Amino acid sequence: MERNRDDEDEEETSEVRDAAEEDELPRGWKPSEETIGAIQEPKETPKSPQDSPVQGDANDVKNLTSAFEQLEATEAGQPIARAIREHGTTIRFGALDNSTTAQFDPNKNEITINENQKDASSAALAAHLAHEGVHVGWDQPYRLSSFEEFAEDYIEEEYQAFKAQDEMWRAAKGEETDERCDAVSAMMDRGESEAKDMLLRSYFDDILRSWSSINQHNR
Amino acid sequence: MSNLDSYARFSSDNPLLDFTFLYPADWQAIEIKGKEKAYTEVFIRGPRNAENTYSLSLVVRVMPISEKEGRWVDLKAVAADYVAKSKGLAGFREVSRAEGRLADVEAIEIEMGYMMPLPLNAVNPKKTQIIERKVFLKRGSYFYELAYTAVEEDYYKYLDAFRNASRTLEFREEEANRQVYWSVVSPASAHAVHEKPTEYKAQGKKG
Repeated sequence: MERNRDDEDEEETSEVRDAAEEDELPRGWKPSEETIGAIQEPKETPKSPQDSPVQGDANDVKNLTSAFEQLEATEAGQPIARAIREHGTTIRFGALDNSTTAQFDPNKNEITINENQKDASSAALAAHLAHEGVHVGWDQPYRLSSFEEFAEDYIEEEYQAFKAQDEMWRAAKGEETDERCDAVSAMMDRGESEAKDMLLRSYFDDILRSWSSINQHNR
Repeated sequence: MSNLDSYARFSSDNPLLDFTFLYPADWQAIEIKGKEKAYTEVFIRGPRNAENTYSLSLVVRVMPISEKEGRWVDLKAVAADYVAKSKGLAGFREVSRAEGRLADVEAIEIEMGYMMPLPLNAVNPKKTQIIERKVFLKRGSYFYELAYTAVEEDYYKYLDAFRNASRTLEFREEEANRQVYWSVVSPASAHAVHEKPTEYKAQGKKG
């Protein structure tokens, strides 16, 4: 998964309570069980759109900047790169569980690429940035009136993230192969219904946990 | 561990999901609508695999023939499109295909296998064998698909759930004249099961 799992015990904000009362969640909310209790405005002051979003040592900055430039250079990636800049989101390599290549943490307003991916190609990194960038810019509230609607919205966001990853990968890869990105492209080739079912089979338990946490908060 | 002795009957208020069938009572059913395509489906989530990376599923999907933009009004073409779009999956292989008639409704059943690196987008994913079995039906202005998908080790363990779903699938509006649909495939040798073969005429091939 590409969603944050930190800050489990932080308090619910009034924004969340208000949104929950309206059966919607605010933009930028990411529905993992850990973040549900930590929904709040980004902790860091948003940076100006002119700043480079990339952080880290010189080599990290070089690799990630190259990937971000690839994102900005493609038609599919441009709106995503713009969203990352406009939200002042930072990008860096960092320690993540190996079940996760990259994640967007809305509390830190940060995209983290697994530090074990420092040797990955710019194309592969750009594809993962595209995926996470969709989460950054996602502004469609989740419906909370039923689990089915919530699951449908959750999967729609993931589907759009994987779709962006696929489009970026196809645009940038050239002759390159990458097992994970190629698998995502093959999944997307099958169309919306098959891809979403694949995502449901992968993430159903995460959706259930998120739904359960929401219900606990709403009690 | 799922209990395959206790079944629930799926039924929906959604007029598009105009059918019922039995599925394991401890599996969870949700209804999903497409955003880009006008399909509606019931997605039933079964047990998680041992690696905790994938849940098996039973799905019945409905889509209007008009959604196919007039290109695939023929059931064979729908099935062929499904296979064609799946060939990019790593290790794709078509295991079996059969055509038959089920209570006067044409049906095609396809079983395929492919590999997926799981979890998706993990740094070190495990190549995992997935098996998928799908029955295509055409009824009125709609195509129907009954699909069962699982990792290989779970596929055979819970195959009875698919068999029961296909045996008990019936359309609600024909309550007075119930039509029971049987799985139409000539089973692959690895999991040969005979499901009242006299109920259908199948011309199977194994690939």
